[in-house]
Amino acid sequence: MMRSSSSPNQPASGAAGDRDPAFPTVEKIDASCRGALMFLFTAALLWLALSSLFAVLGSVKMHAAGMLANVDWLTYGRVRPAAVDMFLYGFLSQAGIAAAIWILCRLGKVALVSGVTLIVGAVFWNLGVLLGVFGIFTGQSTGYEWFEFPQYAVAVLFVAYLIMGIVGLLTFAYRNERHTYVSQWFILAAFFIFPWLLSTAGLLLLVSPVRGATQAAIAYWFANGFLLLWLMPLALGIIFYMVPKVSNQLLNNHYLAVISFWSWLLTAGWSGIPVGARLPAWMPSVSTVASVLLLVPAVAMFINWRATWIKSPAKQEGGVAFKFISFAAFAFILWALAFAANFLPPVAQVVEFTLFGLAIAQLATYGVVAMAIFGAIYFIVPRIAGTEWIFGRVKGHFLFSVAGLVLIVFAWGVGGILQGTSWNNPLSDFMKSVRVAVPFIGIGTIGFLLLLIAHLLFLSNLVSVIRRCCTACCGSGKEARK
Amino acid sequence: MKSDAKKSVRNDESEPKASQTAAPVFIFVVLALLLYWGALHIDQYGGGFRKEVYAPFKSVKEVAKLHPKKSGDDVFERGEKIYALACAGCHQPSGLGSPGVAPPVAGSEWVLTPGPGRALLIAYNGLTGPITVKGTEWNLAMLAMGQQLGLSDEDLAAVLTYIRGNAAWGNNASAVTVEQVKAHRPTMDSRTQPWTAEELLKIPETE
Ligand code: HEC
Repeated sequence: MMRSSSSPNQPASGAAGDRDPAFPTVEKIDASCRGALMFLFTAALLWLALSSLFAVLGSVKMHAAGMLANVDWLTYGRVRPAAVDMFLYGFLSQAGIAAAIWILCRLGKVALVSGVTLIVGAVFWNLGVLLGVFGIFTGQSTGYEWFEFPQYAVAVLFVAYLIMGIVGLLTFAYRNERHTYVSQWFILAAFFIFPWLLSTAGLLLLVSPVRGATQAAIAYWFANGFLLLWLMPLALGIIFYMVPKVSNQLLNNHYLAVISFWSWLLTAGWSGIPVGARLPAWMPSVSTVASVLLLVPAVAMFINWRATWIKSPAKQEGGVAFKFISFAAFAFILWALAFAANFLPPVAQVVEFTLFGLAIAQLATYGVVAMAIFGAIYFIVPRIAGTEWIFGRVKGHFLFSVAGLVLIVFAWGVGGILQGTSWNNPLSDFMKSVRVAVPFIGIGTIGFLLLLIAHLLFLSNLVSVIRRCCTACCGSGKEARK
Repeated sequence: MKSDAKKSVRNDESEPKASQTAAPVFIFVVLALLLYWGALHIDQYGGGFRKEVYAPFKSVKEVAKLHPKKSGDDVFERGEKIYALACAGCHQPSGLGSPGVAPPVAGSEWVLTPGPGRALLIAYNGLTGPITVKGTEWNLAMLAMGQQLGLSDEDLAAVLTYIRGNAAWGNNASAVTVEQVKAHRPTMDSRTQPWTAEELLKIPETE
């Protein structure tokens, strides 16, 4: 009732009053998520911290190749994919699933169907990531980008995902609020597409590998789908939820959201094959068109978010989370532009196969997806754990994350362009193109160090939340016993 | 806003909904323009969706031009040119000949012999008198085309390779080498009259 006064756009039945008395209260819903989600978030954050440690090492190895080169499991070819996959599977996917399931509960006004089952799935998922990382470190990497985990790890991940995904889908199916909202569409799409990506790539690349150029096409399709049809939809679902939630407004435009959703879903899967890929020319050229067409949903979504949040100057208690969310929104539109440009033949001629591509991938996975997930975690955890964050550390996390990301994207972006220009210059020898990139890789290392600090702050903050949450529960129990 | 004063109690009940405003028209305009551009782009770079076209090439034609040819192909193409110049006027581009002008070379037993000798001699020194081709009797005269045009051994090998191996006509006899032509040179050069079918039949099929 308090809220409705501050948001003239809410329908008359809005605010606290729109809850059917038969539906569970938000407290009940959040409580149903507590155990499983805290498990998922904690595990995800551990992977995040570990991955940023190896990311620093991987980056250092790009300019100090000799360092630790005699320890085979710490060579560049293992450290870097291990760091990336811990980040993608250990952190982004895991925390993304958790945040998505919470959103499904909240929007469906329904308690989580089975927290225990979700925890079982989560345990298997972490086992899968652990096995995969172990496989990479022991030299069993498959060699496909973002899909380096060996076959046995992928199998475990697949089963683990099915368990978690089914919990999510059942929760959605049992929802009390029948009307659906755009966040649910994105999350559901991601939940259905992910097992398809994982199983198809697993079967066609690992179990009975297809031959020749088809292998490359499938590997591109997987990595592109993993970003655009799995991680991104989760992040977009989060942003679509958080923006109106924190601004306490209706989402500006329903139909625009419908258009964004369908145009994204129908276009994104066609992208991802680089202009210079050694595949029949129609494949990269269709990819180029798809990547440029993605600008339509990207711009449509950004307009929709912006029009929603500018209506509400006061961000209320979600302010901390909103910082991350709005950063993700800006990063998203910037990424969409860079991504489309990257696929235009004249641009690709310069930047393809340079550090530039890594910069764009970093902007997407970290700037958009991770930032959105950070925001979601900051928003969700106090609600399910009943304990507040230490705000100083959140601020520190935000600053270090932004600074680290900006350094990496800037350094790799500019370094990539210089590298490509040098490659294209017939008068310049190859070593020159390597040397020109070295200082930028150095700046990138500083960026990764900042990210490591940010993630340690985040982890320590979560540990403190959990400790206080536990003392609140068990402490009072002890008191009672005394 | 009283409830907001207390941090831990959150007034969270209302979940996001979307307002049912009409979508801005410009988004459709942009979409249409980009789709149009996309069609042009794929038309230019897509290689007609053919699996054998790779960037930087843009069409099958461009790729075919750059394909290294099989060694026989050059000879065949050269033969095609000579045939068009020296023979097609009477025997027709289709190789089917024409009543009252010339018998067919497509499917002719005079052409499809194991060795090229008989057809070679006809092509060089000409032919006169009755001849049976594919069961039909002809009685016309053919000029000494090869001699008149001064066709070289290479030219003769090429044109015979072309008529013998022309799959489009249904012919599939072996290619003719320059050496095979050279072997007949003395006969060709010493002959001053057109051949008759009778004389030619004395030459073994395999030569
Ligand atoms: C001026 C028209 C003319 C031209 C040009 C001509 N021919 Fe003939 N060709 C004839 C005629 C007419 C006959 C049948 C002669 C006969 O009835 O004795 C014949 C017969 C032949 C035969 C044997 C019968 C058959 O059809 O298999 C061959 C082989 C032959 N020509 C090949 C050639 C070749 C090779 C050339 C080009 C180098 C050529 N001719 C150019 C008119 C021509």
